Amino acid sequence: MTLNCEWVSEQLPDLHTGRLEPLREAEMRAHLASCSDCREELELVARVSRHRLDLPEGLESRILVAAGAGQEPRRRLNMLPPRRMALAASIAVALLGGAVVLNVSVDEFTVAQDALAPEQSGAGWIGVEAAFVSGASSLEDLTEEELETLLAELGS
Amino acid sequence: MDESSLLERARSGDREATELLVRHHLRDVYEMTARVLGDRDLAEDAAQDAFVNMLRALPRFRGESSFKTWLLRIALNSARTVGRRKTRRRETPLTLVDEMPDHEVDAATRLVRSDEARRIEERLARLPEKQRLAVSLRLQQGLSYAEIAAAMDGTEGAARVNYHLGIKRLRELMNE
Repeated sequence: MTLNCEWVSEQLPDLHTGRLEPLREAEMRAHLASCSDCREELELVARVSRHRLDLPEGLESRILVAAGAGQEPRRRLNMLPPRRMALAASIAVALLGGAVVLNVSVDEFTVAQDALAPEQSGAGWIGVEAAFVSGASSLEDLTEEELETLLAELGS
Repeated sequence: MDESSLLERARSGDREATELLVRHHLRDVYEMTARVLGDRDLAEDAAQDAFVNMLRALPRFRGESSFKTWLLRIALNSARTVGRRKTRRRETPLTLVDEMPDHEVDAATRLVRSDEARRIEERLARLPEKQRLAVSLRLQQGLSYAEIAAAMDGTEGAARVNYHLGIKRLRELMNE
């Protein structure tokens, strides 16, 4: 059977991945033996097939969070925009009596809460508790809006 | 576990099943959005939208096409939506990975392959969108022409033509 190059071109990807039936593969190889144009195209098929795009780091985690199936990925405070870092630092100072902490765990919040005088609890801690309920386990998990709200509550 | 069981579990909110679906299809979805948008940040946004939209639409998925092609069609639509939405285009280049593990090639070979990968990506980016998608889906994701048609919401004939024109044009560009 004589194969035309346009048909061969369509089948080259399957030849490259070994998905052709033996008889068809043999016909293709016979054609390639006498057609430099198709051989050159097979080489290009192989080259393009080898290259895939790199997945951006953390994309899977972000997608799982968006899809409701994953944990919110922790972002380090030193990677936050300056304004958010300043807000977070102000809140940490207010909550922990002057100690500036950049990575505050749930346990540290609980200790700080217990250590504060009763008049300092209330609206401010509702904000923190709300953050815990929402799944944020530390200041760095709060959005800028949440940080501003929390700071306003603590200041009132 | 077969995919239909996984889909059923994901429909009922099973987190593990959702995670497996995302993990299994993430690269294909991201490549689709990246090929449409040509920008990593935009492609990430679109890929995220695609999976969220997929989960919302999952109860309505009847299995008339394969799940993969259905998801890729969602990804294509998500990419086009993101592209229309963005008024200020960010130029964040796509990065490439060579499928051959690093320990199997020497440094010089890795460098050559990186340069070649860049050349291929630059030239792919110059193809018209439908040709670019057809070539990428055929060669990099291994889809059949019928599957390409389903993913691009077109006909199998159009998929063949777009692939044929795309690979021919890509050859010309690679020889420049």
